[in-house]
Amino acid sequence: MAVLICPECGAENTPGDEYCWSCRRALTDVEPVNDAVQDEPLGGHLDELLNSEEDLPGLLHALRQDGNIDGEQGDAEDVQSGEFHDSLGQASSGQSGREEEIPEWLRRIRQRAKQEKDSIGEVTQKISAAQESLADEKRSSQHESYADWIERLHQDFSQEQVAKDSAEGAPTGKAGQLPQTEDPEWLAKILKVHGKSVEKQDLDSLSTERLGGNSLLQWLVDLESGKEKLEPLSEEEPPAAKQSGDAVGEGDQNERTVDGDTTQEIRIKKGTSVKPVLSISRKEQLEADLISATIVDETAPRAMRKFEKPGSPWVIRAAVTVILITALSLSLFSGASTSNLSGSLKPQHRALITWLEQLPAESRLLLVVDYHAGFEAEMALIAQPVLSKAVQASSEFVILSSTESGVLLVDRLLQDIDGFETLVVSNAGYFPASNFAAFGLGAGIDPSWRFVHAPDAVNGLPQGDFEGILVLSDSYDGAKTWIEQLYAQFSEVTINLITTAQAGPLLLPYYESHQLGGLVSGLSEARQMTAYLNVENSTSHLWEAYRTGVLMMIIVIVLGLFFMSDHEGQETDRSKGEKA
Amino acid sequence: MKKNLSVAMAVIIGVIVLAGYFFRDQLGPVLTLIIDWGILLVSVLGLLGIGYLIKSHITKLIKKEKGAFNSVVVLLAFISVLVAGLILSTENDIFQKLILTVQIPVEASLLGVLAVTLMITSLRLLRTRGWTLMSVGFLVSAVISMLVDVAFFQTEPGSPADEILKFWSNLPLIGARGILLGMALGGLLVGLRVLLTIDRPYGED
Repeated sequence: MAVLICPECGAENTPGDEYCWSCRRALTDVEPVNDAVQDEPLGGHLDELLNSEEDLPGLLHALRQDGNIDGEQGDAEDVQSGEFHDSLGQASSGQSGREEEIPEWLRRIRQRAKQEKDSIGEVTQKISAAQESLADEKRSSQHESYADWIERLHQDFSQEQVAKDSAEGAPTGKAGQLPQTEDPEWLAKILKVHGKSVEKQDLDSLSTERLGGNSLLQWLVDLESGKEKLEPLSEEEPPAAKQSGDAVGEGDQNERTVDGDTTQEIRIKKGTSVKPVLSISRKEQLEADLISATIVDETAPRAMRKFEKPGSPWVIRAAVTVILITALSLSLFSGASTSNLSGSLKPQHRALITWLEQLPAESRLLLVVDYHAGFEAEMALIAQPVLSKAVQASSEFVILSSTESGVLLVDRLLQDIDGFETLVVSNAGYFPASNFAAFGLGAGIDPSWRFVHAPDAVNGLPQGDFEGILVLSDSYDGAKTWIEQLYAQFSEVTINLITTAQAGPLLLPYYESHQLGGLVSGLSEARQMTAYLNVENSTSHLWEAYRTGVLMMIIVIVLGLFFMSDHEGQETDRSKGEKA
Repeated sequence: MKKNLSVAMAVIIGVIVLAGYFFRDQLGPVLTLIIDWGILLVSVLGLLGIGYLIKSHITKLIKKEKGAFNSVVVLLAFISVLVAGLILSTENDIFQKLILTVQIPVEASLLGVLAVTLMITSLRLLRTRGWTLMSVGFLVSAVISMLVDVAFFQTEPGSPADEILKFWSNLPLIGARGILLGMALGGLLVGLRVLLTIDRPYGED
């Protein structure tokens, strides 16, 4: 069937088409060609070769005439090379001597394809590569069949020779071996075609030089003479092919040099390790550049900028110091404020006072000490009015400490309270972890770590019921632990909290959620409680000093804002100038 | 194996302690054992901390590093307190006064320095952040809170000024509630993660 082959892309078109269906090129100048000739498979020549077992010498002669199997230069590798594939294809398809029959357009395409690998279309390239790969596989199988055929030929000939010898009564050699004195008929034919007469000549005398090196003919002669043994084909590729395969493995397309000729091939190899290629997108490249720039910028040496402390005259500093000390001293000695503060009591204060007033006689109270020595003075001012009222109604205080010096601090605190001497004080000691102590206390646990001569600090958790719990704490975390653990298991017992000013605001929600019965925190609230409970202590005097100190701190902050702001402005201007 | 053992112990003890809130009578003996072990371990941890502190100061002294004189003071103080405690016992009045006479002024001084440092840091906030809404708002809030705390403003009960003053007084409470809610939810989640072995703060990963 005649087809029109597009010279641009190689696609087949039916006769009469004006344009290529693939690339839309005009086909008016294209001559139709016979499809059967184009579709002739490349491997068909080897099939022809296999079908002509009886005429091997003739076939070899034909190959020799074509000059594709050169007895002088050809070698075994040629059989496996693409060059041999091309030569076989040319020989069997009858191209040899018929080059003039190839259409001009097809010749131009082939020539252009050899010069420019991209001249033919991508589809054509892939088809060609697939065809070559298929042809390679077929060729290897045909080579194996070819070797088998030679072996069978050898055996047939041996059997024929043995039968002939036995019929003539001549001595026979070992089965499977050619008689060394006579030439095989088929080999003689080959040699005759090859132009070398071997009559009356042993096969051993056929030297490599005379037969043209490592030619196919030489191999056949060596095979007959026993120099070469037919070995079964192994799965492993020959070194040359293996090397080629490795090279191919680096990419699907590469160039391979065989006997000085450069052959371009595209081959798909199975099982070959493909080296991974690092592909970076533009976005990734930009991010990598940014990271590199950041690292370089961070590690770049810079001149250290000296911080210049703004110098202020010593007279000013001395004057400010004198003013501060004088104001504080005057506030300390000025006397207590006598204003009525009962109206400013907060709900948590009233709740605490109510609890104190309703405390039954001979009550047993648990005193939890969770403050440090630094807050001893503040805690004494805050807790003293509450404890004074509590002592009047209680008969026993059980003291449990979660700070190292808690036992000593509470002793010092209670000694300043009137009526302390009549009070029974049970010291439960110090527990290194407040959460353990709070949980154990709530769970009613009686620890077993009592030792004979151990100090009071390891007396164990207190047991029994309490009419109330007073927690003295200086931090939010410590107070929170006690409140949460005790309320979860002592909900029927009122828990009250006496805390320093810093922890008060954060703990106030516990009062609003009714986990706390009452709460007092800080000196200002202690002053209100003292005034309401009418307890005599130094809270009012210290309150004035505290108030003065806070006011002076506010003044310093406000002045410092403007002063540091000006300084900041100067530094900003200076840095801007440096940058400029 | 060691990892699985620590995981199993943590989960079992956590579940028992959690169940102890609901089944106190049934789990009382087990809870007692757990509390005993816990306090014992914490006490040993304290001893280890003391030992590490002494070792680091001795090393500093031997190598004659900078500040070695301070190490001498620390070691002498430690040894003298230890000897005095062993000789006089912790119940001795002299020993107790000795401890508190040193400890109370030292800690109170540190707290005083801390207050001044906080004041200066708040001033430097403007230097680092500049005159932003947050920095100015922080300082203004601090000043107003201090003024309210020291009863600088005296108002008549029920007057609009009194309402404004109450609003300012309750403003920190609103923030405290938010913080406490966040901490409670965070603590709940952390507890569940530890019990479910999602987090393993007790062992090496």
